[in-house]
Amino acid sequence: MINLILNWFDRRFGIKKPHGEFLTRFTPDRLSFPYCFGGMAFTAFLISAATGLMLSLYYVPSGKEALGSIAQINRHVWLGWLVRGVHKWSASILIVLITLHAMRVFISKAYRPPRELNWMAGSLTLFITLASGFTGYLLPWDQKAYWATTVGTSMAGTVPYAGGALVKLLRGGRAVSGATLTRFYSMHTLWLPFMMALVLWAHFHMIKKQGLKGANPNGSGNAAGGNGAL
Amino acid sequence: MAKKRSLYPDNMDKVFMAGFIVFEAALAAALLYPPAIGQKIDFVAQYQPRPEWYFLWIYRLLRYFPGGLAVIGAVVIPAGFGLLIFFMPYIGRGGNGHVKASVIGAGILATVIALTLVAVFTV
Repeated sequence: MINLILNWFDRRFGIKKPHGEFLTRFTPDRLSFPYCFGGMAFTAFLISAATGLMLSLYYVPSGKEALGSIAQINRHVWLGWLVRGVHKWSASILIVLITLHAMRVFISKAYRPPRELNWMAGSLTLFITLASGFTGYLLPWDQKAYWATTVGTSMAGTVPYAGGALVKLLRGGRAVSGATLTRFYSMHTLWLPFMMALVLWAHFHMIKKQGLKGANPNGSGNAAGGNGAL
Repeated sequence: MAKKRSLYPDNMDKVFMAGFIVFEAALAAALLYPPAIGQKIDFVAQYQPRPEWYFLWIYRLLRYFPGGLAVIGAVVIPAGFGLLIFFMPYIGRGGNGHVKASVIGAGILATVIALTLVAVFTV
């Protein structure tokens, strides 16, 4: 059945050939657990994206209504409390998994040339995730969120000369206000996810490209594509 | 030589299992520790909140650089760590590059973990 649908698409769209090469690429003889961390991190990202989309159906990004809409999600929206919980936890899980994945890549020396650009793309996913965590923290617009963002954004003010301008840029004004909430909401739901999608596409593209070479420069167990068992 | 294994179909079971574990972990955490609804903002009273656990190390780091030195803890060290991570492949190039990169990488990781632990166990 699944094949029938896939073939229908494939005849028109041609998805099988490019993705087939990716899926059928050789993996190390024994695909050890650490090689799964990258794929697991991607799963955590997908979970946070899916739950985030659901939350955005109910969340209201305004100073007057944000906290109330969170309470609404928690109390009245069907399974809202659970979706919100999964969204929050998936961020923590994502950070842990990116770190573990980076350690695996580092230890297997896959960060070095010719894969240096892919390491850089990977480190960008960590930075984007941290930025998403920072901007997401403000969205409930409660006591903790407000003051944590006040302290967090004030850190940019320590930069000599440019500090004041940087803080104003982050907050969209002198103090954390409704303008900051709008700004952070936009970053959290549009800018950062868009950047993440772009960087992840590049990340997977390079795995595919470099996996295709098939050669293993070190001659050890790392077969082609062994650097990213999706 | 043994038959080469490919991602699909040989390792598909592992891929799904790994994805399933992540989903279950997020679900279990959300069920056991659902996030609470916060309190209304008090715009007047100064309040020192603790950040999320992944920023705790910076929160702790700030204490070591008071006054005019604050920029070191707030910007220089965190941004420096970020740059070192980003350019790690260039540190790791050449003969003993990997050793150099390992020392730096382990140093960053140890610093972040140590500061996080200190922050967790102090008020």
